[in-house]
Amino acid sequence: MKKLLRNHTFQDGLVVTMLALAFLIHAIVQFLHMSARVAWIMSPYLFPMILGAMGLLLGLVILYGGIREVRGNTDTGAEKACPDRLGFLRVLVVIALTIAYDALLPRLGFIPATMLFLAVMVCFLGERRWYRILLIAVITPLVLYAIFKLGLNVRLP
Amino acid sequence: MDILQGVLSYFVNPQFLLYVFLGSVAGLFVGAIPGLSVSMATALLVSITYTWQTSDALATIMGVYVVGVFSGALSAILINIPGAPSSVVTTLDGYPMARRGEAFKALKYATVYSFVGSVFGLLVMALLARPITALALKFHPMDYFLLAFFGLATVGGLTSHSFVKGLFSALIGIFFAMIGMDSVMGTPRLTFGIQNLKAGISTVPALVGLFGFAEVLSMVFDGIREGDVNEIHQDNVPLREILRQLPHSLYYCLIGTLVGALPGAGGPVASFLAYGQAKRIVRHPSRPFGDGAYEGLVASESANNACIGGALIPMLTLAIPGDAVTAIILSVFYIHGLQPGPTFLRMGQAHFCEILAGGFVGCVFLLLLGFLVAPRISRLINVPKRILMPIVAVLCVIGAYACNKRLFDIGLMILFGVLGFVLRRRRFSTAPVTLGLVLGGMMDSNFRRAVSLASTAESPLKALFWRPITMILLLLTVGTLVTNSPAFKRWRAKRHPVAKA
Repeated sequence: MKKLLRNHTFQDGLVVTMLALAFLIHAIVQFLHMSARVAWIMSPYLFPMILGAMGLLLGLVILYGGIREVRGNTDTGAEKACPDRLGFLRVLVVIALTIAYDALLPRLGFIPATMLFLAVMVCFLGERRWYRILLIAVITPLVLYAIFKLGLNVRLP
Repeated sequence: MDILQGVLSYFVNPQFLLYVFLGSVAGLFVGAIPGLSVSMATALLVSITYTWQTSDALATIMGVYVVGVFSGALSAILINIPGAPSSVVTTLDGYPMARRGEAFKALKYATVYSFVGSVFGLLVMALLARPITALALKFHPMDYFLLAFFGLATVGGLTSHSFVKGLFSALIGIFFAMIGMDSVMGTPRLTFGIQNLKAGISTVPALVGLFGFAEVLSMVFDGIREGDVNEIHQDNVPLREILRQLPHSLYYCLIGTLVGALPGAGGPVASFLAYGQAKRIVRHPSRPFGDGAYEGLVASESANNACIGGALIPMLTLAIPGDAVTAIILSVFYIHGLQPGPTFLRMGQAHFCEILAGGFVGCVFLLLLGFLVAPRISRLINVPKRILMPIVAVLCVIGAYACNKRLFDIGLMILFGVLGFVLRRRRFSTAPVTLGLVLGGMMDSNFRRAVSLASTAESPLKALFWRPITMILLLLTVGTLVTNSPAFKRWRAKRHPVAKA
């Protein structure tokens, strides 16, 4: 069982099956709820219900594929590799920084928020020369503002 | 004849030429710099060109598309990193040529045969659009549903590590397309009580997230690595020598156009197929394939550029996009109130001419930029990723916001970026998600219309499927599903163990 749970295909199948099942149940409940008011053919949940059933079928096929891999010892080898925790940590930091940037945009305005975001991001991704960080953080938002707002008349956040 | 006149009239329209030129220059850089893709640039352009005239928007996007697909070859040749997925095969012979000091020669071959491929694909599109439109006029709602389903099944099979995972990616796209007000009943669907979702998932932030922000996250995850750029010595390469490959190139172009017209297949598949054919038909290559044979470079570049015209055929005549970029172009059409499909050639002939003209003018700029600018931008290809990626993230935020001016869309873009990143890590392809997202609404409405029409007939099943076009589409779809299924593949492998090996 441990071996099975470590198999990537099985893990994918498990997630896909659970997601599809949850979606199918939601679609069926909504379909039944609507059926008192609308003919079943016209129900907005008819197509989502079919979609959920297909997703469930695909999830089960992926699960079965995982079981076959473990039984036949034909693991692709991906699961043997050590998961890149550092990589995931870097990704989480970038996501957090972008969410913070999104939150700061209406408070600080486009240029100051972008300057701050770029300075932190460039520094985080490995640039150590302070004058480069400063140049990129100051010039890029101004250039983007000139191109998009003044040149292309695109509304900025 | 009227189409020819319409197309030629744009060749003397300075504003149109300027927009194609701007798009071509953008395409040259975007395609050449690894980490920036044509799909990402087109998705960003959708939000920028939102308020523009349709002809200006189409001109710019065609410039980016045509030159962007070609310029993926620059980084493939110079630093062995394909600028676009369709240039993967170009690295096989292009990079070894550059290592031998023939980078300039490789660039010239890539430029000429990308031009040949693009022109070939667009000519086929101009010739075939009308007959396919005539056929599409006979389509019923069920046919549209099956055609879209066939497209999703094909893209799932061709772009994913696993067919089942590819199909599931398509279902994810359709799921997101379902969110919002139901077009038939006018009631909110799958909004989970979130007010902002009532208007549905806007395609622009979703595409910017899937192609732009996901790329940033993937680069950050893999660690920022820079490549070494090969030096370019501008040697004299006679055009006559280059053109000797033209007859073979036309065959690769045909492969590219046909593969491009298959929904979802696109450049990478076409260039791999053409490369395989080149190995078969070229008995005495200049060098062994994979070791700097320019015949391999010709095959890859001819085929992946010919895909452009091929991919546009189903998009314009059936509203079924051939690849991710055409799916994004389809969303440009919808944003500008245009309706591609069987009636498009009749109702929107001017826009059809704009697309063709944009493509052909883009080809001319491809040739000019490829000869004059490409050899000089080798330094730019190596823009440090630690500087490029934060700027791309800011562009993604601008792109997501610009279309609807909602901060909520930036959140959506981040969500789709994370989704795209997770899907890539787990080897699910993101291309089917795009197609599902664009086609989901059409599939839903056509399916319900077909079922509703059939329910009043004496024999509903007969009413649904008993027509030649429907039967053919049904057979194609079932055939694709069965032949790609793991069970069928195992059965075939058992019957032909040698072929598998």
